[in-house]
Amino acid sequence: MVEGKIKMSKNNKIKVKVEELNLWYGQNHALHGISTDIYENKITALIGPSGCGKSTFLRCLNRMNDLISSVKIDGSVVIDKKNIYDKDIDEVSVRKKIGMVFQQPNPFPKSIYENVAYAPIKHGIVAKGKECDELVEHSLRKSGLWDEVKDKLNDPGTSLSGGQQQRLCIARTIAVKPEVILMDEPTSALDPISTEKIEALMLELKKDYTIITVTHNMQQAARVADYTAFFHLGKLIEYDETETIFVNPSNKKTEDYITGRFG
Amino acid sequence: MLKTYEEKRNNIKEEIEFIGNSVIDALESSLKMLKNDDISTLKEIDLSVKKLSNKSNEIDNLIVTTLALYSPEAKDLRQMISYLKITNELIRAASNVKGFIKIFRKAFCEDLNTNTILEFTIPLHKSALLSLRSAMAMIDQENDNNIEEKYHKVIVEESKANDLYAMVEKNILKLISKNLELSKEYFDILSSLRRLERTADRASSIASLALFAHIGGDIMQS
Repeated sequence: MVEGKIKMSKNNKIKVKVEELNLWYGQNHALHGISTDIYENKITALIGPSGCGKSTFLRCLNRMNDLISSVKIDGSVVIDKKNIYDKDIDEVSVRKKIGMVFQQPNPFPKSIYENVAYAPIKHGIVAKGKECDELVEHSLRKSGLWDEVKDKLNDPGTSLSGGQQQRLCIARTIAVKPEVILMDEPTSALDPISTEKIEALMLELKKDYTIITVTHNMQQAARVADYTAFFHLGKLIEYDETETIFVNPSNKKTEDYITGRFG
Repeated sequence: MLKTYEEKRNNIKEEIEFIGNSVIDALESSLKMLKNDDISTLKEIDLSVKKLSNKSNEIDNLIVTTLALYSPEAKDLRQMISYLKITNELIRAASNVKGFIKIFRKAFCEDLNTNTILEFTIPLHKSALLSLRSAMAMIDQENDNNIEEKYHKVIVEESKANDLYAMVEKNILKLISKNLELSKEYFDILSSLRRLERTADRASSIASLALFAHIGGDIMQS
């Protein structure tokens, strides 16, 4: 497979279309002409050694890199036929549509309830009261946390265990009704039991959302992702169905990486 | 393990059971025909080793993918490795059953001492069937006692099949010595019965693999 090109799929609906995406941190060319399609209601895993550009790429998908002054980006990221880098696009609306879950669970220093309710109220998605209560319950149920917290919604979010905090952050993300959820190593700070819960949750969530996750855990990508993209030195080396990547990769670099020969 | 892994494992198990049941069905039908002394109808038994081989290849590829994607460990790993080897044993069993049906049907005729042949063939056939049926039943068992009980049943039936084959071999060799012009037919009958005895061997191997999957230890195949 030619570097930077991808094999086209198979009857899936494209949710995100990335074309010739380049990114520079000052003089450092960090992403080289990435072109790829991300499919709706699928989990796509981004793998590759440290510094390969996978997190940078992920952050391009909700314009998080705009917050860094030295960054220059060209190319396009089209979501539902609209390039999110068009001048008339407001990055806040982009981030509402494309939620993000980070490596370290980062609940607000507020109650469990307020952690979920804060953004929907702020964005005017719901009003305080019954409507908001329902949204909080719905989001916590979706994130598999409701049964564990329903009797202590006023407790601080930070009082929960690491795994529960991460699920609270997922509930918080879901509450603003995004279409795409980005996850940047969502389980790297969690123990195996919490990791399994998050992975099971990802498989449930993909029924309603498109999920793109960065992971250093190769087996996590293998277990949960429908598609896997392998990055190396800022280039997209190979992108295919996860089964193909892990059983019959086309590119030797991919094979060497997933078999632990480098990285 | 994730639900997706459970689904893949159940799918693999169901496909293996499909192959096993195809072989068991063929054995059941042929036993019924032998009991009814209706040897000519053996040709009606539909057992395509080629189709089952294709199915086995599909299962093996599914197992490779499951190993690659889920990296199962301990019991899960033993199960996957057992399944990989059981598919191979089942194809060998299918090939033996097919061979028995084909060769026996062609060689069996009124000129031979049919009473002596059937006297041994029917119990030998029954042992082959029972051993395979019990071995396949082990795959779906979770209870330790049930697994061991079925394992012992397979071993007993396999042992019976070995003894019965030794006896029929001795008797047929005597018949050959008395009637040399029918030696080809008698040797063909013997060759077909050898395949039944081997089917029981394969069942024993499947049982050992199922036991390994459940209890652990070292892989032991007969």
